[in-house]
Amino acid sequence: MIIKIREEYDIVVARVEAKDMAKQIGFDIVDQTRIATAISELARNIIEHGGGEGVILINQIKKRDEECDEIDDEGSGRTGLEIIAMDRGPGIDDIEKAMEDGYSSGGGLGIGLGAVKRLMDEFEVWSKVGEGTRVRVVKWIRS
Amino acid sequence: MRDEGVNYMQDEGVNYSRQQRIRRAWDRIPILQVEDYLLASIQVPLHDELALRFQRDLLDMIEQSRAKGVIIDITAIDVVDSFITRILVETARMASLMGAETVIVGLRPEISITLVEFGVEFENIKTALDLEHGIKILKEKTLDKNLSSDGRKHHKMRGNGDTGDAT
Repeated sequence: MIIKIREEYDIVVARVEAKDMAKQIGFDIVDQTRIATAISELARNIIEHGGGEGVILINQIKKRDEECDEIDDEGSGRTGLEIIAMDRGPGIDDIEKAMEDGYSSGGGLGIGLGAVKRLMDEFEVWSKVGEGTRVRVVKWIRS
Repeated sequence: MRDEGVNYMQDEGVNYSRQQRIRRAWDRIPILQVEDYLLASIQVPLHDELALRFQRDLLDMIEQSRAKGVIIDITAIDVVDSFITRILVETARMASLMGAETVIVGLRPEISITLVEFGVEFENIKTALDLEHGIKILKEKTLDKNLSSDGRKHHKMRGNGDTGDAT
């Protein structure tokens, strides 16, 4: 699923869609809320710091269990939800700093990517000044 | 006053019909008055425009009604992100400057868990499990105020730190 982020209301759209999808996949209510909160912050980052325009991709993904090398039809691996937030904004100058709580280059909003990382299981950020930012996060269903 | 919403809708060639509908249906959060208290129950996803309008409406209502306390019910909110937290904290602080105490009620388990993990805090705001506890807390607080000589200056939290477990 692709959600275009270009105005503040799109933040609501993104979190409603992500929560619905998380629910369908089988995440419990706490994880649904973690995912929705994380995507809300990522969408807000796009609006506030990412040049005001970007996209968020939400995908259901599967991971094989390390122990078993074959995966049956139903997939014995773990199911997860992947969220990728991309923008072509100014980029993040100092990623480490952006990960700190309370840091916000855009004037007091957002409490940083570190908080998003804490809510999710996997977290990657790529950014280049003048080109943009891409953040990828994953939450796995607990087995 | 923020009326930019109207302009978004006129954005040429963009289909905002779904969002438009939601926006029109829910352009305000109703605020009810019960005795000396105001009660606002947030039942819809709180987008930025709505949140800021709510903040303004609530402060206007406090001025008109001279309410001593405000209860904001967030039972129906699905996500409390940093923006919503900031709006709630700010609103409570503003209300406090106008002499009204705020209690936020209806924090569900998943919201509490996420808030703590996320690392945001309802600084200096009272929270309570439900409406009943919220009213109890407000009654205690406003009683306190009446007893102290100058209630209006008395907006710091008191020592008891009682959140929700009022007997």
